Amino acid sequence: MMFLFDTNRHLLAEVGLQDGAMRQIVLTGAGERSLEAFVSNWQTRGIPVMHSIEATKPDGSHDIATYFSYVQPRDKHFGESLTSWSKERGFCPMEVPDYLLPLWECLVRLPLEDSERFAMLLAMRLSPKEAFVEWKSALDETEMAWHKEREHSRFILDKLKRKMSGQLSHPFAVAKG
Amino acid sequence: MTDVAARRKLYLVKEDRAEKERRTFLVAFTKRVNALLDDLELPLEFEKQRGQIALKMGVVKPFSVEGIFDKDQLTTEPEFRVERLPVRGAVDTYVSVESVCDKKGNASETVHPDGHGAYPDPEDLKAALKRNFFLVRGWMRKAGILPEDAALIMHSYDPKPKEWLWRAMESLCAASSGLDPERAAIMATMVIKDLVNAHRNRMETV
Repeated sequence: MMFLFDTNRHLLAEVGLQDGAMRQIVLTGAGERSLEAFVSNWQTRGIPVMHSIEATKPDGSHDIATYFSYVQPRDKHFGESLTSWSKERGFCPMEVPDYLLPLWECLVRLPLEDSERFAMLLAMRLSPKEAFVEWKSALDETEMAWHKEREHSRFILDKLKRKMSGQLSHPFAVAKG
Repeated sequence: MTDVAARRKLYLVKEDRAEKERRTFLVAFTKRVNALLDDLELPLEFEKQRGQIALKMGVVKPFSVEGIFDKDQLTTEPEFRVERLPVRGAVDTYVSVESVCDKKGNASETVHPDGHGAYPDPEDLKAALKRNFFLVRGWMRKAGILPEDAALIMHSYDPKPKEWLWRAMESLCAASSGLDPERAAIMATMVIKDLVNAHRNRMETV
């Protein structure tokens, strides 16, 4: 799986790859705004990849020519083409091994900012694969603690609502009256 | 208390609770994750910066490199440079070398970090260009930094690794006076691609 982030670490897309070819692409809201036009171009024409070649002229001087080739989503080179394309445009592609996806799902459920999720993912990628279980239990523990804190908040709010029930009219009560 | 005042109070308490929830969560989360990273002996740490948690690269424990080297060699070999990787404003020593043998192989001495600048420095690139990147590749392998991860870390600090391009261009222009900047830009792109390809090839070999 490849994740595409923008410069502010907002997740733009999750690209499912199989043997380098694109299997599926899921755009986030931010991704739809910035990538939708590109994605439809990839589907019709392919993703552009820049190549440079250096040629030696008969007089011994060198010349560099650049050209674009288009790689289709079903091509096995799509993944690497997407990486180059993203980097050339200032996006940040990140390959996420499949075993990290459950951890990413945990991160998505937690009250984190995008940049915080990005940093966590970076740390997870740098951890050895064997650390997966420890990461999972750390995330589960903190998620549980967070739920506990939320329960506590709900309890406080319910208590306050009950206390103020006399003053608090239903929003539609006035309209009905 | 009027209906409006009661509602306002509810909203305020709700916002206050949400803020407190996140604050409490972040403290517990950062503590738990840092303990995990410490157990894993990873040179990473999360710290709170302006209400958010951010990744900070810690100091890698010094390690010994076996081999026969001399001081002159050390000053020119990019493998033995101390690298500083800036991450979200934090600058930390990332890799250092503890000790090496002298040229005769009969004594070991401590090499102190020389505070070399952020990767890739013009002279590193110049050396790399001269030697077809083998040194840079070797340095990355020894330091355990993959070009792609280095790019990501750079990217985390600066939106894109344009710094690399800029430095590569600068080195190219310096190495070859009179080089057309446009051509230098194209060549610099190839240079950066080479760094990324080095990682890809390595992964394929693995």
